[in-house]
Amino acid sequence: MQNAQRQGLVLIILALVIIYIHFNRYYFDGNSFDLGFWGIFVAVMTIINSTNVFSALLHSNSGIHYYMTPASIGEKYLAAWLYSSLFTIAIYSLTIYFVNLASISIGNAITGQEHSFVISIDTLKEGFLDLMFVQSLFFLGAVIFKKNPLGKTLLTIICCVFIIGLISAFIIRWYLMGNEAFSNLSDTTNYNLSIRVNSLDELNLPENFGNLKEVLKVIVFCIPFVCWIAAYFRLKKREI
Amino acid sequence: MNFAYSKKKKIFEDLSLNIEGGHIYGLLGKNGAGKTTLLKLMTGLRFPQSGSSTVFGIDTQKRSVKVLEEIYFLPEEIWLPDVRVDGYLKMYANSYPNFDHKLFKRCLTEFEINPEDKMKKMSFGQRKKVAISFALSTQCKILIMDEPTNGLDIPSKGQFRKLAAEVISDDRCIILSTHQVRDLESLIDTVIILDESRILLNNTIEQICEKLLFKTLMTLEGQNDVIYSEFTPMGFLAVTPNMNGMDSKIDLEVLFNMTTQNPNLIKQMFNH
Repeated sequence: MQNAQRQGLVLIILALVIIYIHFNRYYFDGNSFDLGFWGIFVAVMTIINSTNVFSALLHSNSGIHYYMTPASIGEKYLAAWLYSSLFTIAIYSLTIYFVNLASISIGNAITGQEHSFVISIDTLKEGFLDLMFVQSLFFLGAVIFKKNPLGKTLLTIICCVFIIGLISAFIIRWYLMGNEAFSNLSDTTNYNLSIRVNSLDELNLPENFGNLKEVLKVIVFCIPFVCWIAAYFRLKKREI
Repeated sequence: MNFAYSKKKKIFEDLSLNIEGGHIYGLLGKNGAGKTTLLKLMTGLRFPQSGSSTVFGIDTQKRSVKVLEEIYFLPEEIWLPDVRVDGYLKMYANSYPNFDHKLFKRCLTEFEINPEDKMKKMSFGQRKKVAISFALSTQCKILIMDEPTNGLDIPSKGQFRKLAAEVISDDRCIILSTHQVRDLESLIDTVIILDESRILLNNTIEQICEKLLFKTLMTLEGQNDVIYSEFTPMGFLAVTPNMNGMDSKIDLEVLFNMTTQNPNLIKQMFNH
């Protein structure tokens, strides 16, 4: 099956599932539409499309065809980037949005019930940035790994998260131990505090800890750009 | 250029090769001699450790559009998308500025391929015919084909030779890497023999026949000038120096075996 047909089929199934959810809601008081779940669905489709966008590079013969097609690396990269990011996010998000809107409009008109479908701009913006973050990681993985890019990228992310988490835990523990306010506490109390590190705002931490948080935010914001630039150079220098 | 997959496994050392228009090159070598690697290095699909490969003065490592429009590389195992033949044409023909649609149609007719057929449903040989037809029709200045006759039926091999001979011109060359020397013997006009990370021979058929005489002998007794011979049920396929400028039909298989077994002699005779 060609990619366009495959994407079309997924979109049709997606639309049917949304219609069914609304039908269930209007006539059988079923669960309402969960935006978080659909966000995860778009994220999964973004991961799949980002991983498959360089599937030609998985095999020598299709790789030769890909690289020998007369187009610059920049054009090839841009096509892959647009397809796996904006195009994927747009077609799935718009389908979800418009099918929801149509289902609710028709449902309200037929049943006389008054349901609404509102998504705030902030939620959309946040969701979009999260999706682009995820896309950048799997996009880079697709160019780097020659076999099983999805599995290897996932494994790399898990390893990185584990290592970063471990280092962060050590730094925070070390910092808290060194802080006068906490130095007199027993080990058990320290352990309990370390569990609560995700709610750092609740702790009365010195100013430089807040700076660290800002630095981390900037680093997280930069990660997609680093991944995209790295993917470009990897594509440029990859050998078949 | 120098190229190695690892420190222990050197493929090419100080390799130098110049390819010119108006020729059909036959690239011959044993399995693992580096024929496909050389083709990949030439097209910028692989990067040498030192040195470079240039086409019209542009380094192929840059993978520039200008170079890609003038090189077509047909690998041994072809890849084609799951579309109809005419769909493939629509997708890719525009990428080649000199693409000859009439020639493509004619090639398909010669190979008995229906342009409305889906490539997914075709046999390997049929898909290869589509790929060959497309490659010839691109009108690229450099056409590289790795084992083009693999998978082709007997009549198609003849049709391929005919079509390939038609597209050659003074500013265009074809490089054929093959083990099937008998299939392409009548097509090749320059022979390049690769062995143990170097080029043993790079000469035109004319130059080879000027210096070597290929003949069949019933016995080797009294034939003191034979420099190489192979026994066959039909007699001895022998090679002697061509002292009197006589004409003979080159036997590429014999030439290849002779070259790989006597590289120094060949080096001496052809000044490589």
